Amino acid sequence: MSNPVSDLKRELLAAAEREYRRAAVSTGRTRMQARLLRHRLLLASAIVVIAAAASVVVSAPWSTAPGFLERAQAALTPDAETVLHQQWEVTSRSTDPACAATHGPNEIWIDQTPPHRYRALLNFPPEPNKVDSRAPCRGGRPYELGGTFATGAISLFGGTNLSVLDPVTELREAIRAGTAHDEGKAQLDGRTVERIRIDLPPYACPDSNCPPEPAYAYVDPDTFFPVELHGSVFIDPPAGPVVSVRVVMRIVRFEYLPRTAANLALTNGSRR
Amino acid sequence: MRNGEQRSDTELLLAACTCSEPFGVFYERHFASVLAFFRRRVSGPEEAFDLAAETFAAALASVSRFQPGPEPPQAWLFAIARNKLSEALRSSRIQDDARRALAMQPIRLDDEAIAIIEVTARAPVIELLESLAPDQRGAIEAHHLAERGYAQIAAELRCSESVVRKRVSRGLAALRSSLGRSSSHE
Repeated sequence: MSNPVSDLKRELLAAAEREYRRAAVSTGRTRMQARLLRHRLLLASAIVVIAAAASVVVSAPWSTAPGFLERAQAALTPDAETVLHQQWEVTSRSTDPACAATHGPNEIWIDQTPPHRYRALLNFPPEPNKVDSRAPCRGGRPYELGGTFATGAISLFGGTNLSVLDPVTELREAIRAGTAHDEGKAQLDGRTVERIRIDLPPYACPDSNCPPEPAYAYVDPDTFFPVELHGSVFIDPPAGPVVSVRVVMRIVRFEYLPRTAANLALTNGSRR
Repeated sequence: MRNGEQRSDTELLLAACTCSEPFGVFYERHFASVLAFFRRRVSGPEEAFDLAAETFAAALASVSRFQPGPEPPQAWLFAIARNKLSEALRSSRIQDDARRALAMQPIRLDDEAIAIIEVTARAPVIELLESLAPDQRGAIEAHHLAERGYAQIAAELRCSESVVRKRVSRGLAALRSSLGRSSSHE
């Protein structure tokens, strides 16, 4: 006699076993990359956790079926007469040391008219010189950043970290670059999203022997707004081994506000 | 180490990140409630089963993301169930994205299987019925399950019809209250 309840359980457990086998293969690859990177110069800051999560999107190739690309690009091109308001949190998971920490809430307002003035309220440890192998395990402390993207005022590490704070702009640029892969529908906690695999270019990894693992951007299938960004980063503290960290940037709120005087005031970092 | 049956839901979900057996225990513990949740909200047992299957597949796909919090793990599970239900209502069809992503085979449902689904979906309600005072449970079973009239039941119990009506009414109110409490996770 067939019992659908038992049949479903059997299917679920078989699926679970398949997933574990796949994850085991992936973990093996990550460990190999960490060993290869051990003696290389890497970014050294806890804030790199969030930076890398978004910067994987910067270099994101995005090649898709006809129609998807055009709709995404249109949806991700905001009206200049708006102010982007975004809230997010970042969960970093390290396997050695084994720990997980969630950093947030983080919040930003960005004027969509050049020079793109912004103000961000973050919850990260901002001092790069205090990073050690336990950095991904610790919570942050609240602090504020502000400036304009045009002046590069928030560049903390010699490069742009615009992507830290505005992943949608980076997604849009990635569409223009045309090098990512739409993998179709996926599930996040029961929510249907569109999964975009991001194959990183060689320069995303400082070692030519280190083929970087892909990152993933999960976007709402209707609005194309970001839901989550998943990636890996390596932290090389001044002392101790390289730490491999899996990062999930979860967008809690994403909206374009009208460019009123009151909303523009929210982008003014010097008003505090 | 405690065996699966003794472990809390949180322990099971955390352990399920590396081993399938704990998820099996979690499934057995909550499948009937999830099925009952859908059975009360969709027209047929096949649809309810389909939604429950998709919910557990989505839960399995997300289990590595589960983080213990102030809410019980059932709240996480029923949040997924609610998402599945609203998706189905919005698109007028039951999605199978999670099951396809996990390469799960569809479960074929014959008449016998559907009968099992119906019994399973009723199980949580029967459990609640058992929790009622004996006079209220007897009155509800006699009137709603055996479909006997109030007068007939009153004659059998040698009491007035209004007493039987009051027992049924109070029993149903208690059931609704219990369902409301269990639905607060849903």
